[in-house]
Amino acid sequence: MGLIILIGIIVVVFLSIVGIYNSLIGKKNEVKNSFAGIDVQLKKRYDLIPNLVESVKQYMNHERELLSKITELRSQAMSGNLSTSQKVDLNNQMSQALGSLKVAVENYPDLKSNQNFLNLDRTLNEVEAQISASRRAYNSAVTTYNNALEMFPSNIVAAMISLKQEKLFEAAEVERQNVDLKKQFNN
Amino acid sequence: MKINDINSLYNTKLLPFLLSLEKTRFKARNTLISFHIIFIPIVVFVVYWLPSQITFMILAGLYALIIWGIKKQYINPYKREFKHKVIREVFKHINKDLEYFPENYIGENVYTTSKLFSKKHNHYKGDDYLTGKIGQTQVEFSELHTEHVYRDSKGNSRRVTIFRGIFFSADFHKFIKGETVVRPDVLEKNFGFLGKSLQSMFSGFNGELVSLENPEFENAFKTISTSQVEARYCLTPSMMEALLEIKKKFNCDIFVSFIGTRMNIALPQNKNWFEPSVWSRTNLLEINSFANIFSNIIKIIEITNMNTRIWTKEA
Repeated sequence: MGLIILIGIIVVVFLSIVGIYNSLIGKKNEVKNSFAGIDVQLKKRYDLIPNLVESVKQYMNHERELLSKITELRSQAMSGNLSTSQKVDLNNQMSQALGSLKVAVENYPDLKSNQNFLNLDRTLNEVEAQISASRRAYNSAVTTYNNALEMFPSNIVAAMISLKQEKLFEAAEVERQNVDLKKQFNN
Repeated sequence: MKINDINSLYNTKLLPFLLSLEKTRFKARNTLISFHIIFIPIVVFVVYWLPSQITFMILAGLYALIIWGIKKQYINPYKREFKHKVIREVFKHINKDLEYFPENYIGENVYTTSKLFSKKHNHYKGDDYLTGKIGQTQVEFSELHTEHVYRDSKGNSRRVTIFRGIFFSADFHKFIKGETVVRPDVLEKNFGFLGKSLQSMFSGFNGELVSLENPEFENAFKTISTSQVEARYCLTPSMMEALLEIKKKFNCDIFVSFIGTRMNIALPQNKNWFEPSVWSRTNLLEINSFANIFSNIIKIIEITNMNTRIWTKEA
């Protein structure tokens, strides 16, 4: 009788460990998956840049510097072989540059009524919203994963297979500072 | 829309309508009263002399039949006229762009595709349908009452209400590919973290549980979606705040879904709005309550920012 109970306990423990292990792997892969999802959206944004620069170039005579900076950032991003931190840094710079562009567009009423530009603007807004959403999804996946790493009983299994914590996506220090509108206008 | 507005509307336009309807109301009311005065003594008499189950059934059937007749002949025409004259005026005063159809209601396909209520219904009715554009957003809403009636072999029936209240459907301001449904969260409210793990086991409906960053939102709602990213695309931080505000405004649990081209919101109510009573003339207080809830429904568009159309989906 005692033997049956012992076997029963061992089976239950074994099944629990299997369940926890699988769940941990699932969470780890979800983190990878959602990180890739951000990349997809960022690439979409890069793809929009040439068209955007072309359509505003003729109107925005005083923003040559800003436009060439945007084009430069894009070529750097497309060049490949970038580390994650380089990628993140480039993307942050791109977000800032696009932000400055948006502010500058206010000075060109002709451009604001150009249909081509308006369509691009909408598409860009959409991509930005998708980037936001995919970043939030990534953070959620990371939180779920990190929770499993730290909480009982999955922390035991996690330690056994040496899983490491992932980092949340945080706004860059530069982005966190309040937007200095005057600086942007002078760009 | 201020209280004074409705007060002056009441005095200038509504009161004359209400007074002109008094004759119809009295007819309906008096018919009801006289019927009961005649019928109740008959019931007492018959039951005293022939107390049997058949007698009860015949009397109950007769009662139901006559009440149905009175409703059709007197009460419903009164209610119809009230809605067409008085309620229409109240709505027009608050918003001129919406068209009011008192006898219509949201189409069954809109209700079903919204996926707000998974339980199948076999009875579907409603009233007070409005449709039109608020700003740039196409909207439609009405009162709905959906039920599932269970009939057993003995002929007994049991009615279960699935949804009763206001059903609101608007053209969503972004393109959606999948489905996201937000329902009141019973488990997390009561069981906290354990509730969360229980929820993930019973998510049933074809989608994954979505954990969002707003703690108040997470406590109040359970979100299921076909895509983690798209759920967050629809439920931005400001949208979550908006939905919480709507919940507070209506003081009830709300159900929201983002499916197809629409945002659907179901607001359960425990009464049928915009109805007159045959027993007394509708007073200013009641008119104000009608005006208030109507104006709150309209405000949904403003609170959720549906008229902000800066993405690829234009109005």
